[in-house]
Amino acid sequence: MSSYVHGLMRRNYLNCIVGVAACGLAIHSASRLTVQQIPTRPSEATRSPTTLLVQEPAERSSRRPDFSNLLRQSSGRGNFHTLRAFRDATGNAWRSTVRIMDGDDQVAFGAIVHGDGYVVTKASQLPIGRTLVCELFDERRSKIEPVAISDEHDLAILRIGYKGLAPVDWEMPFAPQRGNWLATSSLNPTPVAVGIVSAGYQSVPKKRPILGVSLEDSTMGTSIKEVVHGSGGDIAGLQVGDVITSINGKDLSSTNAIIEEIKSCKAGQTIQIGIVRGRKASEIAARVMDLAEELWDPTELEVNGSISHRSTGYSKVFLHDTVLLPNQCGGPLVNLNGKVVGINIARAGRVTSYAIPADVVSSLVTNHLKNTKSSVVPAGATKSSARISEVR
Amino acid sequence: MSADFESTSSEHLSKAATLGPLCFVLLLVTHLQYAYSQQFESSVREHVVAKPLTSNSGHTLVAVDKRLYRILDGAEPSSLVELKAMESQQSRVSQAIQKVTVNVQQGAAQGSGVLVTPTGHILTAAHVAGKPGRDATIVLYDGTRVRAKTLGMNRFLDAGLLKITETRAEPWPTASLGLSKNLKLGQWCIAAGHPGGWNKERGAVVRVGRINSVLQGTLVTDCALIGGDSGGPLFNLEGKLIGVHSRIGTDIGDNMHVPVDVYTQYWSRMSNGEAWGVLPGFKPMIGIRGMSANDEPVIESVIPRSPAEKAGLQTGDRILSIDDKQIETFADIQRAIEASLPGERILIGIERAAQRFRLEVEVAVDENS
Repeated sequence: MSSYVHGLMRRNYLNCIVGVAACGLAIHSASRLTVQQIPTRPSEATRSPTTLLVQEPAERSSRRPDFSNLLRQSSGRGNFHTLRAFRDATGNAWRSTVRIMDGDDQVAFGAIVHGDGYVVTKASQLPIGRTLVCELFDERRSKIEPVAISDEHDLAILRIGYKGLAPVDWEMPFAPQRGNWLATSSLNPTPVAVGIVSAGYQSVPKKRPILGVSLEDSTMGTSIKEVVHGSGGDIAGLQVGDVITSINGKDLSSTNAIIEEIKSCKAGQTIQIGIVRGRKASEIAARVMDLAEELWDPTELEVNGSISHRSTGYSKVFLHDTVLLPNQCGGPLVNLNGKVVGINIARAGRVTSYAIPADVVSSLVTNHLKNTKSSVVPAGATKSSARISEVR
Repeated sequence: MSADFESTSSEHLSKAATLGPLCFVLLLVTHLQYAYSQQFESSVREHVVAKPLTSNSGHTLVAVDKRLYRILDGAEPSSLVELKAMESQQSRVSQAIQKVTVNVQQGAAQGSGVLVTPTGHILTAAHVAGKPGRDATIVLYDGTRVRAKTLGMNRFLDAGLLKITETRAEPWPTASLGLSKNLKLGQWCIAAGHPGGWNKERGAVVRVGRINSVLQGTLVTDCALIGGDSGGPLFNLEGKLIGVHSRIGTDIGDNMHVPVDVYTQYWSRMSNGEAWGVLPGFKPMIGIRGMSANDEPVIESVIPRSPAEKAGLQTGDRILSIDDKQIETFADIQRAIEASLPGERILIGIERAAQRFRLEVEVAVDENS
């Protein structure tokens, strides 16, 4: 329902100013006049919900989707003064926080979970086939050896080349209480963002991964009929009319085979898509996302900001309202006693971030290190590098 | 056609494509905006005497720690002591507001609401309530479902009212009322609601934020809101209700709430089931024009690509009814459309060449509103 705003954007934007002003309301800056009625959801399997929209001009909506995750107001809840007040509160958690880098780009935060150089982070944030580097609070940098991945919890255990590190101080057991402060630690004492517990433990059902395009059979083969603005396919530059010929080097001729191949991918995974555009054949790399159905809509994606490629399929998470970018997930979430209550595991939408509780992460790490103790090899050795095993 | 994702989303997209050109002039009624603004001005000046909503009662009030006085005035916390005092206050308020924050299901839409009287009045957004006299279902914090009816609404400001129709022995829990007229920039607040609809495992979701601007008829905070939150309560750190969620902008800091004073000001009109106005920017339209010379309910022209054209309405059609409401003049049509909501489907009874039949039209937003 809401998608019809796309064509209405510019006119509505201007008219909204007129409309609002005519009714005696004054809004202090034109750029803030992007009003949207909050869409409501259908209760059951009824028809589409009523959504009323006024949206912003089309030329501005083509900006990077993560832009809307950023708070503009200097008087806002996450302003510098407030963040600084958390310096005393978050204890030494920042010394146990790391940053996973791909060149100059931050991929994720991570948490040191064992003094011998073990780090956990959000697994689906890690690009495959890239050389990643781990940055510590004291500016030391180290190569990363993947040790294990838990697909169930979307956590990766990594090993870095330093020992004698300070691991996080877990809060166990952690009982999330609505309204309690949470800080997302950074590599310095001031956290990157703060928020509160929004709701307690729950499970998030898994959604299947999508590329964000719809396909149709054409004389050329399987071609792209539509691309969802802001989806992995859109970001990669797929266009309407492109004919898909292969995925990850596998020649696929039928539409169903392509859909099945995408379904078999993991959320966050980058796939190579062979396309023919015009008469030119080329390959495009795109990431698949496990986007919930209600977000398959340009307006929804825009107001929700940038969402983690994997944001579903968690057995035990709690909800908080910290505004995070996807690449700020993976690191420690700290309470006012400086204890780590969990690991940020996903940015799931405009109002929600998910965190995996401390006890889940801690027991996962403990179990893995116990089981593999005999086979743990010194950092830098090649034997275990690049070997990723699944852990439960 | 087959799709990588399910077909509804491609329906969305094709709708976007076909409705795209709608950005050209589409009007059912032209230049009503001025008239609305006049009406709005007069209703703002009006002072409603009846004020059944009383402050200092209710179940959400939480005594304030004196270490928080600075924070209550809108300052940032500057120490661990203040952060801990805020935390304790926030968690007590979050606890207290669970029982008064409800989910509202009305027709196909879901929103939120907040209980304010022991007899079961619920404040919500006008666009959640829809129209007066409709049946709605209220889901309480423990999952209990009770029946309610929609009462009146001030659509100019998106304020709506419902009342639980079921009786029960003990009074309903209520929110403690605050005032929205003395709010200061930077004041901390807590938003509650059911984003995405009712979820038993989750309950009401709380968010913290600060007041970014106080406008006539609208509060703006950085308590992030999303679909399903509409109609939910905004509380200050004392646990007093100061607003009701209404709409959002793209930026995460643009979350608009109806100030609570609007409800007390228009209480008698709204509780009597009166509905008036349109929300600026959301005026409904279907895209037909009438004869300017007379008031006959005959279509003079149908605007290209409008909902009316897509539904098959034609020039010369005489409109007999809209949803079971009899139509006698073109002004009746205008009133009926104004009372509908964009996105709603209405049944229009038509007489064409001595034949009578009905067409379903999906109401759109008048982009000139």
